[in-house]
Amino acid sequence: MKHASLLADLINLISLLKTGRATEQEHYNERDRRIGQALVHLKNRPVAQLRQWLGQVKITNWQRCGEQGSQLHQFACLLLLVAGAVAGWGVSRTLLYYDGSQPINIISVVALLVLLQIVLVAFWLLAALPSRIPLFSQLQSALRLLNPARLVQLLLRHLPSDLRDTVAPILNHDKFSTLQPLTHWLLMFWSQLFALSFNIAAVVTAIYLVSFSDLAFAWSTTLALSADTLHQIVTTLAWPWQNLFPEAIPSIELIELSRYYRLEEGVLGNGAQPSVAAHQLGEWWPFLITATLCYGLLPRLVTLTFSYLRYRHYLRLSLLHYPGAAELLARMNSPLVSSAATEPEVAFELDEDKPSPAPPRTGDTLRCSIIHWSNGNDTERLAALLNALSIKPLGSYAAGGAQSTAADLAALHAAKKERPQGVAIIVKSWEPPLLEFLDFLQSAREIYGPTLPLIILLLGEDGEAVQARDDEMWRITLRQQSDPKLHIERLS
Amino acid sequence: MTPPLFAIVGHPNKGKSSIVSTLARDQSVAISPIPGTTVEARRFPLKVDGKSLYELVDTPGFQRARAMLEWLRSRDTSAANRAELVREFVECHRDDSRFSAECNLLTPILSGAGILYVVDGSRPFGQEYEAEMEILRWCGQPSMALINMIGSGDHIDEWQRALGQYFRIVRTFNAFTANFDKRIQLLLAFAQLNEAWREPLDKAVAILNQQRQQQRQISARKIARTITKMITFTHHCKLSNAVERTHKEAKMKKTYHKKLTEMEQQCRREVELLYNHKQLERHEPAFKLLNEDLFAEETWTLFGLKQDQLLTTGAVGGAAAGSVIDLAAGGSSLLLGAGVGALIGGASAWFGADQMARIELLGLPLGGKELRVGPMRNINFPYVVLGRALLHHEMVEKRTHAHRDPLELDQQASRLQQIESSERKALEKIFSKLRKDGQPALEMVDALATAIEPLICGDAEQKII
Repeated sequence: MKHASLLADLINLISLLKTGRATEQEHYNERDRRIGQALVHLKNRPVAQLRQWLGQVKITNWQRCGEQGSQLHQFACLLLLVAGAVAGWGVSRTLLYYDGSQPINIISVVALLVLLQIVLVAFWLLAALPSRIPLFSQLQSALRLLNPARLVQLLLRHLPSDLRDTVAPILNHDKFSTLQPLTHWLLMFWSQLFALSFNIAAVVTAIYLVSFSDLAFAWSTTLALSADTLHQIVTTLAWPWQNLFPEAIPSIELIELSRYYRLEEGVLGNGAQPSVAAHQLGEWWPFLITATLCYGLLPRLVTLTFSYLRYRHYLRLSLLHYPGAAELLARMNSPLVSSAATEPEVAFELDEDKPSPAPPRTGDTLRCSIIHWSNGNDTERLAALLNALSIKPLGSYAAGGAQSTAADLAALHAAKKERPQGVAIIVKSWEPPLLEFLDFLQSAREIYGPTLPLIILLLGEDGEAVQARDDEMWRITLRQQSDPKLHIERLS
Repeated sequence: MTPPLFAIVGHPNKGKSSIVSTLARDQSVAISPIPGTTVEARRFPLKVDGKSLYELVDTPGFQRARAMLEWLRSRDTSAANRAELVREFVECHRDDSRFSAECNLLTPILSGAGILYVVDGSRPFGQEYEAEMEILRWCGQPSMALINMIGSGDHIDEWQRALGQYFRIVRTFNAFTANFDKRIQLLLAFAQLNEAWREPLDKAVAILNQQRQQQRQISARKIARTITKMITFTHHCKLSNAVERTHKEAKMKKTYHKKLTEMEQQCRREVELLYNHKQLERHEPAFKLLNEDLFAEETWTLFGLKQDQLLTTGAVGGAAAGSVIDLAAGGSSLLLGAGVGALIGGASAWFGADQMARIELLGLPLGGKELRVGPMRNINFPYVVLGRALLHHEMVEKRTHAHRDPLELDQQASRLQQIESSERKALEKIFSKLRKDGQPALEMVDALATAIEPLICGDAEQKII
C-alpha cells in the first residue's frame, strides 16, 4: 500500500474528524475500536497508529483531500524552487555581467551575494525565535510580510474553492489558529527552499560564467577605503575557510592591483589599464564563489534543514494534538464498553380516546358497602371521612392483599346481599392499580350490573392527603375502563 | 461460560426501570408514573469489545401474582419441585394474555438469571407483596432485594424486616442519586449471589473504573481546549472609514461575547455526549446557574476568584514575567524583577478586574483599518469559565440516567475559590502564558488539561467541595 505523506495524513485527519464528530457516533466507536485492536502493536506509537488508522478507514471521497493537499505542497515547493533558481540565475547573471568594457565591481557582488544574505539569515533567525518574546513578535509580524512564501498563499486564493478549503486549515496564517506553529514553519520551510534554490542557481551561474567566459573583477568605491582595510574585511570574511582553501583569500597585492577608477576609459590602482592585468583581475572568483557558498548556500542548507525538521515536528504534533485526535486514540486503545439495550423499547400507549372518568357524584347520601382493597379495617376516622363524602357505610369486607381471589369474589357477593346504592372500594393511593384490581372491578360490574355506582376511594399514606401524582396515576388507569359509573374520590 | 444474567423484578412502578437505566447508563428506558409502562422484558448487556460480561433484564411488574401463586399452590407436592412448577406455569400460560407479565418476568429467571427484587422504600410495605416474594422464592434462584427510594418517605426498617424473610441480601439503592461508587458497590454485591459470577463482575468493575478515568481525562482535555480557545479568541472586522468605528464597536463586542458563549455551550454538549446524556434537558431550573449569561455579574461573583485571590494570582503571573529579567541578569538583580513583576501583576489584577477584552484599531498591510476585539485580557475570565465547566461536569457525571426530573443543584460558591493556592498558581502560569502569547498552542492545551484533571478527578472531590 502506498503511504501518504505526513501532510496528507494531517489534512485527511482534519477532514475526517470534522465529518465524523456528531453523526453516527456509535458506528465510529465500533469502527475505531476494531481498527485499534488490529493496530495494538502501535499503541505506544500514537502518530504511527493514527496514520495507520487513516490507511484503514474507508470513506469515499475524503482520501482525495490529503493527496490534493500534498500535491499542492509539492507544487508550491517546485514553484519556489523554480522561482528561486530563476531569481538566483538572474541576480548572478546581472551582477557578473561583463562585456570587456569595464570590470565587475566586486563590492556590489559581495554586498548582494554575501552581506545581504547575512542580513537575511539574521532575519530568519529572528523569525525562528519564539514569538512570546515581546519585541520580537512585532518584528516577526513585519517579517512575515517579506516572506516570499506568502506568494504561495496569494496564489492559493486563485485555486478552486474545494482545493482551497482542503488546505485552508494548514495555511490559515491567523495568529490565533491552533495550527499556527505548523503554518509558521511551513512558510519558513518554503522561504528557505526558495533561498537555497536562489543560492544554488547563483553559484552555478557564477561557476558557469567563470568556466565559459573570462571575467575581470575590480573594486571601486567613492568611500575612503584603503586596500589594507579592504584586505582586512576580505580576510575576516574568509576566516571560515582560511585553513581549508587559503587560495580563496585574495592577497593584498591583488586587492591593491584591482582597485579601479572609471576615469576616462578606466584605470587600475597602479595606473595601468585593466586589459593589462586581465588575468590577475580574474583571480577574485575563488573568493567570490567560496563566500557565496559559505554565507549563502551553507547557512540556507542549515536553515532549510532546521525549518524542515521543525515543520515535520509540528506536523506530527498537530496530528497528535488536533482537536479530536486524543479522543480517537482513546477510542482505538480502550475497550469499547456498551451497556445500552440491545433492542428498542416496546412502546406503551395509552388509549387517549377513552372517555374521562365519570363526573363527581352529586345529590343525596349513598348507602354503600365498603370493600377494603389490600388495606386496613374500619376506624372512627374512616367513618368520619366517609360521612364527609356523603357515603353511609353498610357492611365492610376485605379483598386483595393477603386474601385469595376466591375471597375477593365472596366479598362482592356478600356486599350484594346488602342491596347497596353503591359500592365503595378503598384503595391505597400509593400502590398502582394492577390488572388483578381491574379484574376485581370487572367481576364487580358483572355481579352488580352496569348501573350501580362503584366508588374508588383513594386513601392517603399514614392519613395524609393523597399525592397529586398518585391521584393522576389512578385516574389515567381507570379511565381506560370506560365505565360511566366508576367514580374516583380522595378519602382525605 | 454464559455471562451472568440479572432479572430486575418487582411490583409495577417501584423503580425497576430506573435502576436498569442507572446501571446501564441508558436514557432510552421508559420511566413513567403509569403502571405497566414496561410491557416486555428488555436486555441490557454490558459488552466489552462485543463480549458480554453480564446482562441486566428489565421486566414488567407482577400483575396477577395472587392468582399465579394460587395456581402453583394448588399443584404443590414437594418443595423440591417448586422451581419446576413455576416453569410449568410459564409454559402453560405463555400464550395467555392474563399472565403475560408474569411469564415475561419469570422467563429470564428460569433460564438462570439472578433475581433483583425492587421495592420502593419511601412507601409502606403491604401484604400484596408477599405473593410476589413467595413466587420468587419458589424459583430457587440466587436473589437480592433492592430498596429503591423514589419519594421522600422512609419505610426502610419496615421493608428490611419483611424482605429479610425472603431474601438473604437486602440493600438500599437510590437509582436517582447513586453516584459511580454506589453503582460499583451494587455490582460487587451481585457477585455475592453466586461465586461463579465474581470473575466477570470484577472484570466489569475494572473496565468501568477505567472508562470513568478516561471520560474524566477526555473531559479535562475538552475543557482545556475550550478555555484555551476562549482566552485567545479574537474577532476581526475591516473598517472602510474611521466613522464606522463607533457604530461597529458595540456590535463586535456583542458578537465576541456570543462566540465565546457558543464555545462554552459546544464544550458542554460534548461532555454530555461523552457521558451518554443525549437528551439532557438544557433549560431545567437546575441549570439556571449555568445558563446564566457568561458575562453576567452574578456569574462572575459566583465563579470568579475573590479579590484577595485575584491579587495573589495576578502577583504570580507578574512574578513569572519578572523572573525572566532576573534570569537574563544572571541573578545580579537579586530577584528584583520577580518582586516588581509581582507588584505590578497584583496591582493590575486588582484594578483591572473589570477590564475585559481590548478593542484595538489595527492597520492592514495593504492599507485600510481593522477593528479587533480580543484576546481576553481579564485575569478572572478563565477561572469563571473553568468554574462553570467543572460544575457542569460534576452535574453531568453525577446525574444518573434514571433522572427525568430537574436536578437539584446545590448553590455553592465557585469551586475554584476553594482549591489550594499551589493548584491556582499552576493554573495561573498557564493562563498568563496564554494571555501573553495569544496563541492556542497545542502544548498549552496539554498542560492545561493536566492541571484540570486533578480538579475533575476523585481526589478533587474532597479538596473542592
